[in-house]
Amino acid sequence: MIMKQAAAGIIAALAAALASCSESTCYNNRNSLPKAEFYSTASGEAVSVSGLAVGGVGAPADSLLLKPSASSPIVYLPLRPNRGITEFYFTVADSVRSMSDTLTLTYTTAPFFASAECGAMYRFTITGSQLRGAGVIHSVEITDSVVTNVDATRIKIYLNASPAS
Amino acid sequence: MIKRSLALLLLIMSLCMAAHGQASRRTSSHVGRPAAAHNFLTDSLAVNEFVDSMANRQPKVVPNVYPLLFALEGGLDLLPAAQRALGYDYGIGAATIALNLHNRYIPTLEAGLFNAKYHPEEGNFTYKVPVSPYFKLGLDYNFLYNSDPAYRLTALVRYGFSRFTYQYTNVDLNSAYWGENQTIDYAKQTYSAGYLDLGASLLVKLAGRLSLGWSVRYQWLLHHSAAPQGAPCIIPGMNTGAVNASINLVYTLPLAKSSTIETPQ
Repeated sequence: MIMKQAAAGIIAALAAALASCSESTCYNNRNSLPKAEFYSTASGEAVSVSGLAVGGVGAPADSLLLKPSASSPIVYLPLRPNRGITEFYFTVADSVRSMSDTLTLTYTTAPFFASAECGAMYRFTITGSQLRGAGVIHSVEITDSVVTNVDATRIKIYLNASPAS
Repeated sequence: MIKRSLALLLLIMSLCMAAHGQASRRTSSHVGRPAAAHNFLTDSLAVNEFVDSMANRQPKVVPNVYPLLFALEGGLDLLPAAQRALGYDYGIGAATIALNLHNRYIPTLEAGLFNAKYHPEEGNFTYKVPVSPYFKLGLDYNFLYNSDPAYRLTALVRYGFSRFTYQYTNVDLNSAYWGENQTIDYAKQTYSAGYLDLGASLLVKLAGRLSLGWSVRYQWLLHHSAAPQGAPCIIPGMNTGAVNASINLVYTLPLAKSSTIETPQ
């Protein structure tokens, strides 16, 4: 009886062990990407925006991180790994007006290995932010200065009323 | 005063009656025969009539059939070599030495060597470890301890330890958005780790003194040193996942004379 119970216990333990062996998926990002979330200055609540173009200053072919046609509550702001500074523009353009702000992030980089599944990458530590422009953005808050591949909000962008939907 | 005297008298009488009763009971089995003086010291209850109900409630202790120093065992883990042959980029091998006590408790020491030059299929890095040792100390418990020692089903526990250096090289750090690519080597890091193996193993006699064993272990990292650039991808003695396995070729050196071992039923 004891033997049967022991054998059953061992088989159950082995089954559980083997079942947990199959995890090989990266459940986070494969790069350290700062996730920025849009907020309404008036209400203080998270909002989705449309009509806002976001891109990196100097990016190849002026490629956009967020297109005006899209409606999104977040935008990822990839940092340049071999520089300590990256600039992003936020532009609202319609038939009446065109407004643009520039957000400058300064940071330090350090090599970091996340996991076998997610790989190796840089870990960024944001040391400062600067905002200038026409007033698309009211203010920026760095909620977590250490940027890893964990998909969490690091920056809160408080928008003035017009681009928020 | 009268009451005290009466009480004392009653006490003396009751003691006398009790003593007489005892004497009568002791001699009752010798009715019809002259009672010898030494017979008064003999308990008339036969051994086979006496039932100790408390003793029956005690768990029965199964004695060990095999002697304390039953065998000395040496083994080689064949799995790392087989994995290398199948294209794995890490692991070398391990050897074990174990003392078999009563064919039941088997303290075991494992020593292994590990190296790696591991590049995952979709990974952006190569993980390098020079040849590094690891050690595991623990115990096997054989559930079939009173059975034929040609077969063994055991639960095992091990504490493993390794101190080694590692490096991530050829790390491909590209930013698709910015169109910037970099390939760098991280600095070498030294790391210490202690871990726990819990598992089960099966051992079957092949021929003569040679046996083949299989074990499967679930592993937990118990403690480790700091790793500023990220933890090691594989720790010597641990698998990439939580489960590790081994296939052992075992040589058994009997320590007990065969005449002292009773053949199990």
